[in-house]
Amino acid sequence: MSKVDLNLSMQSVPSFFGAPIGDIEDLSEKKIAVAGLFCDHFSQGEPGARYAARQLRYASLPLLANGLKISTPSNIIDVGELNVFPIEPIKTQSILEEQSYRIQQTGARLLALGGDYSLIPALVSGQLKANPDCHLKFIRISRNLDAAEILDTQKNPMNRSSATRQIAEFCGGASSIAMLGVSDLSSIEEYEYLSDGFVRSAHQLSKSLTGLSEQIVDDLQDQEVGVYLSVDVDVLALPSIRSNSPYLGTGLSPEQLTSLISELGKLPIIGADVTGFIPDLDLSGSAASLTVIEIIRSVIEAMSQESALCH
Amino acid sequence: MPLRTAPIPRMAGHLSFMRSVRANFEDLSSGSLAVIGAPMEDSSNLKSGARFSPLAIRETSVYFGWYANPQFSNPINIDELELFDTSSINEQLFDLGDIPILGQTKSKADELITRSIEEVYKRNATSIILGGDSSIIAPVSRGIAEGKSAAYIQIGGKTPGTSNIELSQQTSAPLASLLASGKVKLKDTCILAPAENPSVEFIKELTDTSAKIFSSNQLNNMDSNEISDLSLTLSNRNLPVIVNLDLSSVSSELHGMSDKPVFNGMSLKLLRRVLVAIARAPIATLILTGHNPTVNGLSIVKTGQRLIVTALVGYLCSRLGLINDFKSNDN
Repeated sequence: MSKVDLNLSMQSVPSFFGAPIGDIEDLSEKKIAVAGLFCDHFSQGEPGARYAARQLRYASLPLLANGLKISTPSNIIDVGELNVFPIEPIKTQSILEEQSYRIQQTGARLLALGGDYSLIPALVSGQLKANPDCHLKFIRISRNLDAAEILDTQKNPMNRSSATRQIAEFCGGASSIAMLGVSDLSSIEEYEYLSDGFVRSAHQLSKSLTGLSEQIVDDLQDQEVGVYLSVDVDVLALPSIRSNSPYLGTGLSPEQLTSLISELGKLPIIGADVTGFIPDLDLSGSAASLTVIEIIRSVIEAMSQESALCH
Repeated sequence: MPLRTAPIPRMAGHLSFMRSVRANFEDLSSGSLAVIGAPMEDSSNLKSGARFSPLAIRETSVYFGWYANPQFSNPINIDELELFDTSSINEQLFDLGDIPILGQTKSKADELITRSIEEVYKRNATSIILGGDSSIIAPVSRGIAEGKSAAYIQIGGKTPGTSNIELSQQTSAPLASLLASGKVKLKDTCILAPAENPSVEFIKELTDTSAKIFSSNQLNNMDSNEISDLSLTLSNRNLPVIVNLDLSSVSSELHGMSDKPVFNGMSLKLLRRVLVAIARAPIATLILTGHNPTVNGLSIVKTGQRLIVTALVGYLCSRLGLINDFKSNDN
């Protein structure tokens, strides 16, 4: 056989989008630190979202992508899974906050993948600690409001059903919250709590996205604003994609969701997460994961855009 | 200070083989053991899925990560319930990732495999190749033999009807192609627990050249020193020794993952004993084939895979010189 010039660079162990694997010292401004969240123990919904990071890494492999062209965004680094303590909520909250803070301190932005929404208040708290002068706007794309009253934080500090309310308290009230894609029936108390916030249903969003970003930050034009974007795959109206909320047939299509995320790219996104995805665990069962990978790609693109609005 | 200050859950993070260090060819030196994936599979196989084997084996091996994890001092060998000094594993065991063969033609994929193995072998490092199906054996052997010839130990797998096969002849027994290409000579061959009974002609050819063949029952009655002598004899001929572990060597009640499950194969204990014993000789590479993790649908851990990795852990600990008491291997 004739010798041919072949690239001998080995394909590393699976990473998100085949991105370089790194740690805190590899992070800097303009970089996006993609981290896995191996924890789904504090929600009441179906478990399994802790395996999302594993499956999303597998779905990033061209081997499984089955001909789809998946290229690596140049500005991301896979920093592995964040530390969690699945049976110790207080310890988990504190260590997630610390890791989120340390990533933000490097100038890089955190994109957390996998796990469930109950972990996100800790990450947002870390972001706020790293940016004390910034007015943080929290945008959540989900079917649920998750703004129930906070009960006994000492006993159960991480709880999905009240996570939005927890975040609102960190960010200075419900006016800092934007809930997009809401389609489930939530309690009157939750709607009342978010009456100062920005709430749009999936039905409203499916009609038009024009001017949405401007409306979300309308009251903050003269302030230093940072946006945290939280995406839950439960917003998808696709029975083939399982999330830890029961499927009700309502929500957005994948195309509508990626368009919405792209619209939000006009805002200065300082951190993001994609949670709630319960993957099929078979090595070859990657169809749903490939859809979620494309949604994550749109989040990375939105984070990489130069902000057209706010400071 | 790294991002993580605490251990991560067992299945979380980057799934390298036994949580070993990810490395490049340049990081290897004499005494290193490199793990390489070769996710290649012949598309004519009806039970497709062998290409997922490196992923599945790495994933399962993470459960054995504490063998190579410095934060656990005094790890216990779960198989023999004895203390095991694994402190040097992290300096010797490296995961190089997968050979990038996706999208290549068969000939280019073969050449990539050959060149990757050459890169490891020329640094005097030994390797474990995670197949893939048996089509990787020929290119791996070319990378080791370097235009000369090599000794070959086949565990499980098919035997050729006869050794007198033309290279152009199609055969499903990898050994036949190796013999036809001259990369392996029949006298430098040893076959252990073949998946099917060999032909009368082939047995006679083996006996005439004093090559060795043993069934799983015969192996069961041999002690570890006798099994070690098989590989030591071959390596004493100044030939690099290639070992092919095909999962068809394992008895069918242990797994449902092989494309060719057989009755009367080796028990896990016997397989581990054989691997530990032959690893006393300087094996150039061990090629794992015949594993199809999708046969029964893979969950997070499949019992059979854990058993296979248990045997592989025995092999690599023996290869790295961490097992010295071979008497206990016989118990």
